[in-house]
Amino acid sequence: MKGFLRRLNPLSVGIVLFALLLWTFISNFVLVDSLALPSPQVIGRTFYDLFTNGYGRRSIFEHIGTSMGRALTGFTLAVICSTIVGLSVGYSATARALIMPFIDFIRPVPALALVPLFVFFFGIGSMSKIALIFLGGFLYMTLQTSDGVRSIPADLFSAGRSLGFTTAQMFRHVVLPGTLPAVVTGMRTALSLSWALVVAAELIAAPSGLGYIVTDATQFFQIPVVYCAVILLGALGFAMDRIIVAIRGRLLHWQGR
Amino acid sequence: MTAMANNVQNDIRIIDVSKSFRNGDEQIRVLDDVTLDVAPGEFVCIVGPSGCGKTTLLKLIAGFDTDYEGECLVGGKHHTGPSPDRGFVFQRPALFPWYNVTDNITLGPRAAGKPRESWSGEAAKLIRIMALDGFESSYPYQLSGGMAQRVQLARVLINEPSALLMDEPFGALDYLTRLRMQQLVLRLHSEFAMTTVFITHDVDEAVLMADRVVVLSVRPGRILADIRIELPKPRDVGVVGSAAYGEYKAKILALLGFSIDGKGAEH
Repeated sequence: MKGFLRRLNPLSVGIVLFALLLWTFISNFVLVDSLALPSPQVIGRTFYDLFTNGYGRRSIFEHIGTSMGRALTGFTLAVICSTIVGLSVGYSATARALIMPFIDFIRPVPALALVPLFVFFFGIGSMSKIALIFLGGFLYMTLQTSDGVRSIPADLFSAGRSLGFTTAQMFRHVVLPGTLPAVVTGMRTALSLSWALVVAAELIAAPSGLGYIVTDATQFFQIPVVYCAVILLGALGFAMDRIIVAIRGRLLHWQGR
Repeated sequence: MTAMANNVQNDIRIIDVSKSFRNGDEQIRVLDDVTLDVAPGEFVCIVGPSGCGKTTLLKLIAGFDTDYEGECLVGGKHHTGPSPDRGFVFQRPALFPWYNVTDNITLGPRAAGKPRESWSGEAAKLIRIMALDGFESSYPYQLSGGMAQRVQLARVLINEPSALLMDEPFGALDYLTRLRMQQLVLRLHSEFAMTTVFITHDVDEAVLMADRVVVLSVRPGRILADIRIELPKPRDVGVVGSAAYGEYKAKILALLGFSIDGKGAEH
């Protein structure tokens, strides 16, 4: 955390503080009691209310937990499956020939277009969201991973052969570590994607979750609640991204960045 | 390294080897009827213009490529794949960026399942020889070009190869580093006497290091000359001042189309 504070650019800190002040000023003295721009005090009070009384008979933590649970379940499944499939597709021409036609076909379909179908298949509960997130993350990460395998310099395979590596050793010492950067980079994007997809899916049809709060509160003109949900979404997404970045630093220290 | 002295010294015999690549409908011949013997423990440099098939020839000897006409025997045997016994030093260091110096060096014996006692002393010795002390746990991105190349050399030598195949190993190094690496390799060769084939486009490097210099023509690579370098060994950089050195160099340059008689290049 200390390192994080030290890395902050004073210019960025300054502009953010200025924006917050500007927001306070405008919402209190220019657009007074505006529905479109609630003041910081109103947002603060709404947050307090959300955290003490919850929203729609569920606590706010339940909503957060629901959204996070869906996003992370779909994401984790996608990481596992895409790593396996991506490695095979990148490593074996046969696997590539067998699997890529399907991936190439589904990939251009915007994931959101599948929401109604998924709701039809899996209901409006968590299952349809998890399936959607899984699909979005899986397609993206499979391509990243297979590109990662193919980006390993040929010299490293030659060096491995010349050192007498067996196929299993080649996998362990060359393919896996060589693909790791692509996997982790793919994970970072896929995690943001998961977060975006869960909210989008909840906006369309869901009985709970942060996305549900956004739609539901909008229908009842509880704009401060909408703002609070949006702020929560941003903060949680940011936190998850920081975690991935920290993991990347640990796993890929040998890249020297 | 004592074990190496007991190893059978491999000789290399290349008999009527030709090689073509297919490029679309076109067949491009890169090696044309190359015949070359390298005696056990001999140091042979192959020089030639770029694209003459030097590296292709070396990869055939290593066993990376088995699709060619003719015979290529190492230690009297035909090989169907590379082996740690025919150590290959790549032009770029080809270190595994995710392993530190020690782990890169010891990969060969560890992959072969040899017990730690059998290679840890050897690894420490090679690290000392290669002047890598203090960098044992550094990662490749932290090394200079010369150091990375010395790590690669150590990674090859720890397998106690009886043949050493080097593909323009110092081409990417600065001049002074290259001179130091040449001396290091010469010292290693005089100590361990592995049969060595060294590819280079640097005529000075070839004359300085080799027992024999083999000159290849432009594509398709054909042997233009096979010149025994009778300069006394061990050689140091001082040899470049001798008249004999200058004659060898002029002769090889002339074969490559550059005569040093004021007329400039012949083509």
